[in-house]
Amino acid sequence: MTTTFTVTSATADRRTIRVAVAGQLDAHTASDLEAALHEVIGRGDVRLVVDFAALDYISSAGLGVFMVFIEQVRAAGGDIKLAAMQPKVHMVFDLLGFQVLFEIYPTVDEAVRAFPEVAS
Amino acid sequence: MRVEIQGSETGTDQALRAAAIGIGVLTATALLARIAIVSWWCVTHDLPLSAAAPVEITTSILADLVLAGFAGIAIVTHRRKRQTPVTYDTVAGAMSLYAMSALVLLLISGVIPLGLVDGVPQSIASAVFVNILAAGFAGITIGMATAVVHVLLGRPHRRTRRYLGLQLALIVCVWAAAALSPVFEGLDVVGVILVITGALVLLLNIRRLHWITVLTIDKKLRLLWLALCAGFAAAVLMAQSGGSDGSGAAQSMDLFVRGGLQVLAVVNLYVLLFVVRVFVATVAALPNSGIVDRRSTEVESLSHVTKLVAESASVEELLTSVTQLSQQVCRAHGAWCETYDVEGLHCVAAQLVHSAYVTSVHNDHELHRLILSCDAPMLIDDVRQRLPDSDVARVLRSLILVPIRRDHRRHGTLVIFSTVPFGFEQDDVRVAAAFGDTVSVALDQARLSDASRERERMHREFEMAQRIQASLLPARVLERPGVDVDAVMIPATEVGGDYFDYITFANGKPGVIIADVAGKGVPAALYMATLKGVVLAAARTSTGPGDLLRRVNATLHGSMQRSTFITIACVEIDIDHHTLRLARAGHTPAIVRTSQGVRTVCPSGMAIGIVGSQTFDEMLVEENIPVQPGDICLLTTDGVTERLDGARAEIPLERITECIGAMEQPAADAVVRSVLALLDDHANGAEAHDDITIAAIVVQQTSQPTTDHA
Repeated sequence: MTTTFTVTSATADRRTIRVAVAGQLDAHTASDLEAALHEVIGRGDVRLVVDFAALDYISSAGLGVFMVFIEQVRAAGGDIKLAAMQPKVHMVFDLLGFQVLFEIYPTVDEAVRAFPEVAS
Repeated sequence: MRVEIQGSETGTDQALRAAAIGIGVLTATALLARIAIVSWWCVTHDLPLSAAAPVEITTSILADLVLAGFAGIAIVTHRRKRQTPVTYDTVAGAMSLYAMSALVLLLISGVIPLGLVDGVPQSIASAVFVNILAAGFAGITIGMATAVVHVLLGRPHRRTRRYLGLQLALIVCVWAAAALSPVFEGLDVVGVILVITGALVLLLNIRRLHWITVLTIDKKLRLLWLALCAGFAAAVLMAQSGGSDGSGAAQSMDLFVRGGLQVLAVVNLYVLLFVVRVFVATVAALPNSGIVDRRSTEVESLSHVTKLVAESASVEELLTSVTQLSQQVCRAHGAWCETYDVEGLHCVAAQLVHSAYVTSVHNDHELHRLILSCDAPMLIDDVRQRLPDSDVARVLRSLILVPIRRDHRRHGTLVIFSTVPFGFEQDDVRVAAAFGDTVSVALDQARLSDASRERERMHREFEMAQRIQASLLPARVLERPGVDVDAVMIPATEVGGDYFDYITFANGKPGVIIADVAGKGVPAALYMATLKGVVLAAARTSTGPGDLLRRVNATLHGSMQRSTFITIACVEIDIDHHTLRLARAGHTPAIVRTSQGVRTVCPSGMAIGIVGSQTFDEMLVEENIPVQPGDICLLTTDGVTERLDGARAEIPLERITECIGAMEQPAADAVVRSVLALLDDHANGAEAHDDITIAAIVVQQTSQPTTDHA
C-alpha cells in the first residue's frame, strides 16, 4: 500500500506563497513536505499559507514538519498560516493543541488577508 | 575408466621391463663387440697383447658396462619423463648441465697428466683415471643427446619418430664405418656422407620450437646465454673427440671406445646443431618479446584485479591496486586515481607522485577541464602540443585518461602519465580501459554489497532496539484493591514510539500513563526511553497527573528536536473517592463508560515539547471522572483510532464505544482483548502502520461494600 501525497506552491496575493498539500501526510511523506518548505523558505519567502483543502489525513509526524520551520519563519518577520482544513484534520491540530501555535483559517483567502499589507 | 587405469599401469610395467631388457641387451652386445674389437686392434697395431691384455680387458669391460648403463638410464629417463611437457626448464636445465660438466671435465683432462705412453696406460691408476674421464665425456654426451630426443618427442610432429630412428641407424653406421675404416678403403668418405645426412635429418626433425616465442624477455636472454655456453661445450667436445691432436680428452676417449670416438664427435656435432637451432629460434623470437611480456602482464594484472574484486576488498584498496598495476603495465612514470563527490575532488591513490601534486595539476584550469571532460578512455601523445600554455604539461608530457563510472555516472578518473611525449602506445590505453571497466563494475557491486550489509546491520539493530523497548514496558501488573488494570502494546515497525507504564504518585495513589512519541522507528524509541526516565523521576514527587505532565514538559521542552513532540494521557486512580483524575497532553481522548453511557473525555492540554511551561501550564486542565464499580476507562494511542482497513478507512469511534458499552461485568484483560479483536476485524488483514497501545482501567467492588451481592 502506498500513501499518496503531493505538495505544490504558487505565489498568491500580498506577497504570500500558497503551499497546497494533498493526500496523506504521514511519517513517509513528511520529508516531501519538509523539502518543499525548505526550498520555499530558503528562497526568502517567509509569508506562507498552507492550503489543507485536499489533505485527507495528517499524522503526528506530519504536524512536526510545521514545527521545524515556524520559529525561523517568524524570526524573519513572516508566518505560516494554515487554511481550509477538513474537520478530521482540524481535529488532530485541535487535540494536540496546535491551534495555540498556528493561526488556522477556514479559507485560504482569509489566511492571506490575515497577513499585513506590504508596501510595494 | 577402470580399463584405462589398468592399461596405464601395464604401460608403466612394460616400459620398465623394456628398459631392463634394453639395458641387458646393450650391455651384452657392447661387451662382446668390445672384446672382439680390442683384441683385433692389439693384433693389427702389433702390440704385444699379453703385455697390455690385463689392463685392456679390465678397462674395456668397465667401459662397456658404463656405456650400457648410460644407454639404459637414458631410455628409462625418457620413458619416465614422457608425459611431462617440454618447457623452458627442461631445455635450459639440460643445456646448463651439459655445458657445465663438459667444461669441468675438459679442465680436469687438461690439468692432470693421464700417464699414457703411445696411447697405452702405464699403470692401473692411469687406466682407471682415463676411463673415468672418458666415461664422463661419454655420459654427458649421451645425456644431452637424450635430452634432445626428449625435447623432440615432447612436441612430436608426424615424422619425428621415423626421423629419430633413421638418425640412430645413421649413427650406428657411422660407428661401423669408423671402426672398419682401417680395414676397408674409402669408408672415410662414406662416414662423412653419413654424418652430413644425419645432420640434415636432425635439422628436419627440429621443429616445434614455438614455445620459445611465448617466453618472457628474461627467459629468452637466459636461453641465449645457455645456448652459447652449450654450443661452445659441444664444439670443444666435438673437436676433442674428432681431432687427432693427442690431447688428454681425445686420448682417453680413443682408448675408451675405438670407433666410438667418432660416434661421440658426431653426437656432439648434432647437439651443437640443436643448440644452434635453439639459439637462432630464440634470436628470431626476441623482437616480439615486448608484446609477449605485455600480454602476459595484462593477463596477470587483470586476473589480479578480478581476484581483488571477488575478495570484496574495500573500494580504496581496489583503486590503489588498479592504479599501481596500471602504472606498471603501461610502464608509466606515474599514475593516480581521483574520485569526485559533492565535496569536490579526492586523490584516492597516487603512484610515484604526491597527492599534493595532483591538486596542483587540477589548479591548471585547462588540464583540469581536459581530465573532467573525457568521457571515454583517451590517449594524449603530447600534452604540450594540445595545451601549449600549460605549465604542468612541461612535466606530464603524455597522458592516458580513463573515466571510472559508478551507477552510469562519472565517479572518478584514472590518470596515467609519462614525462616524455609519445610515452604510451594505443595498446596501453586498451589495458587501462579494461582496468577502468573492471573498477566500474566492481564499484557497482561494492555499492550493492554495502547496501545489503547495511540492511542486515540495521535489521540487527532494530531487533536489539525492540528487545530494549520491550524491557522498558512494565513487567508487572497493577494490583490494587478496587481496580483492575490491563494493557497491551503492539509495535508497528520494528520499534515504536508508544509507551505505557504504571506509576505511583506522591500521595501513594496508583496511576496509568500512556504516551505516543511523534514518528516511528529508532528516534521515537529513544525518546520513549528518555520519557520513561523523566516520568518515573517526576511521578514520586507529583501531586497528580496534571502536575506530572507539567513537570515532564518542563524537563523535555527545549531538549527535544523541533519536529518531535509527545502526547500523553495520565490517569490517577482514586478509589477512595470513586474518582479517576485525567490529564491529557495532546493525546487521543480517553473513552469512559459509566452508568450514564459511553463518552470521550478530552480535557484541554497541549502536546509535550512544543511550547514552554508558561503556555503549557495555562492550557493544561485536569478532569475528574466520578466512577462506580463496573465503569471502564479506556486509554489508547492514535494507532487504535486510526487503525486502517485495506481500503484505508479508519475504524469508526462508534464501534469501539459500542463494544465497550455492551460489555457486562468486564475484566480489564477482557476489555483489551475485545478492543484488539475489534481492530483485527476492522483491519481485515491490513498491515498496521502505527503502534497500537490499549490500556483498560476497570473499577471493581472494594471490600468496603457499597451494595451487597448483586
